[in-house]
Amino acid sequence: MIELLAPAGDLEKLKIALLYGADAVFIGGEDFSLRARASNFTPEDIIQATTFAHERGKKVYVTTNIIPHHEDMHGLLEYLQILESAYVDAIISASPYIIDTALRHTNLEVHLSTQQSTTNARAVNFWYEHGVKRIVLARELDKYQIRKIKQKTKADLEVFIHGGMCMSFSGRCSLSNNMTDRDANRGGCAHSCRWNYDLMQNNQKLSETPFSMSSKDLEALKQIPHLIDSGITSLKIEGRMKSLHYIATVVSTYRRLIDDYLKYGVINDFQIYSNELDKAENRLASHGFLEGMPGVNQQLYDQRNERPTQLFIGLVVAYDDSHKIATIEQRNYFEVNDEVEIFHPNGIVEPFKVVSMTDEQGEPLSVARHPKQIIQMRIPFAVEPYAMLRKR
Amino acid sequence: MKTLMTLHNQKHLDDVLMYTDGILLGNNLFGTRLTNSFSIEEIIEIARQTKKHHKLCFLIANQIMTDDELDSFSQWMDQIDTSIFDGIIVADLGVIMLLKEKGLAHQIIYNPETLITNDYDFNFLHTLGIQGVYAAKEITLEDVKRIGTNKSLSLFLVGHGHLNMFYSKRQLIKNYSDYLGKNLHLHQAQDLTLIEEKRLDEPYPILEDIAGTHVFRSNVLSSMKVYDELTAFIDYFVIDTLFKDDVYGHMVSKMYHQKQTELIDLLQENYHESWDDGFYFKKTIYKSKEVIK
Repeated sequence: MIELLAPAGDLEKLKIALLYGADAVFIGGEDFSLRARASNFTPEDIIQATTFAHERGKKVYVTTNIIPHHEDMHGLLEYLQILESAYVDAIISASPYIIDTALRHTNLEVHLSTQQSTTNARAVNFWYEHGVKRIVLARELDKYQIRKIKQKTKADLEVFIHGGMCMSFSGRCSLSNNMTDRDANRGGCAHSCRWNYDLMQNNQKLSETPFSMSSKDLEALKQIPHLIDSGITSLKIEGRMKSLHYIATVVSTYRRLIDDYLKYGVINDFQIYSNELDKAENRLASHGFLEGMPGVNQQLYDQRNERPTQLFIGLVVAYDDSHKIATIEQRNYFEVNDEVEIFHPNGIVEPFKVVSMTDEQGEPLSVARHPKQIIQMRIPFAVEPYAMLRKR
Repeated sequence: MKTLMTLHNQKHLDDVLMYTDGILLGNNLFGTRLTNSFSIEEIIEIARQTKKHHKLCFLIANQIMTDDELDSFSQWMDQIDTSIFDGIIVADLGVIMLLKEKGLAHQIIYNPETLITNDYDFNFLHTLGIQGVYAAKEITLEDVKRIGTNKSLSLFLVGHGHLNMFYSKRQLIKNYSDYLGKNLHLHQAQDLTLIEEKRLDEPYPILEDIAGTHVFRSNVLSSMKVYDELTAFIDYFVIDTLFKDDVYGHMVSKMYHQKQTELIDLLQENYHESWDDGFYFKKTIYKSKEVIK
């Protein structure tokens, strides 16, 4: 069974990812993890995370993927033992020091991080024979190269299908170290590859158009059938710092696509999935390396392409079935008489109109303008906690 | 401590070897960020001449490779009597496994650029029987020393040159050229730099080769201040002359060999470059949360 793996920057996102269809999530702890700016999980959070996931037959992986300097090496075993006692399903690591400590002194399953930029079967098999169960492949492979690797290995393979792309081979970039003193391989990446530059030749600017290393995000809807048929174990969505709505929308869309393909054996129209992804705040996207070497159409020039969305206006907290009253936590501005829809965790979307609403004290409201404000409204059908209210 | 240096032109081999113990060279089908791409015949001839001088010759095969590229590299290697090399510098574990299959483990020097930042990771491949490992360029002198103190393999360190800080498989300059709708013919050009909008006085050399696109530090790393200390625990001190020439290499190697500190200013002036100590005395920041607060 193929796994859909989603990012979770905090407990709420973790629950959303799992409820909306992820089979597993990856999270960062407080130590040894990249993405230091994400809301990283405390040991207590991790126990809550694994409990929530395991109750639903799902998994939690913890990233321990820094490349440690000597000063970072203390306390590793103790930290890994905490993860083990929290019943974490696997760690994702890049440093042999972390990998070997886990393999020798704990029963933790180890996955090799993409920070090792693994691009061939020999390297995959080296790690597999070393005891690493799963290899997260480099993003620089096309779908045929991925299939070939799978044909030559017993290792589980994980492939990125959606989200931001490192421009450099992962783990081999020190732009941030050199330009900002922040260590990219220890969680400090400043995304210097997304800045604007001028390209000069012999000190003469070649164009007024800024040079950009930045690329469009990865979106692999059309490659999912090929990857499933290739025997890939896990399809990974990137973005631990993305919003709840992004996580829900992206996870739900890929869940539906995977299930449809497994059920019908063919996908005739990818547009319906693409339309659904468009509802999240995706940047411009392309297939990355999956269809071969990226050309100019996969790059971003002279633009910032995040497409913000105001679609996500509330999160369902509770529902009183007898009175058909939902309790909603506000996330974006909306008004009485707005045409809205409920985006259920199972992917189903049901429309309705906001006829009236009140605040927590029962005072009538005509507009919901305050973030996180608790609002009650009548919804003519049953909704469940973590369902999302969206503008149509 | 032995000194190794890159070579631009076969004609200058004698000059390059005058103050060094050996050279590094490669072909751009399998090597990247090379001063020059030498043909297989040239490589064999240069290696032969180097042996005549009783000096060392290392092959650079430091691309990150797919399975197909590994197959091509394997066939290419089969054309060469590999005993002419004193070592083969690689960046990919798959290349290591390929060379091991060929019985060449003892020639392997692993240089994954950024990944070797502690003594455990440095010694990790010891059991494969490889020869040496490069320490990362982004660690402090103290970290290099600790690796040197605990090493069970030969320790290589790039001690002088424009160090690379970005390796993308994408042909980013070609893509940019296509975006502009021009054919700029900049592939392999060694006179390109990037200027970031807030760092106008820091031109970063950029190079596109067959392997992809590479961006380099603005300043040249110099190890003159720490050279004596390095001799105690480094086995191979590497001078990379990419973007320069063999005359530069000759002068730099002479400077280190003869401790000619008066060349420090002269070379920077003549080659319009600035030198610094890299990360020898500068720690990068771990948890960026502390920066953001």
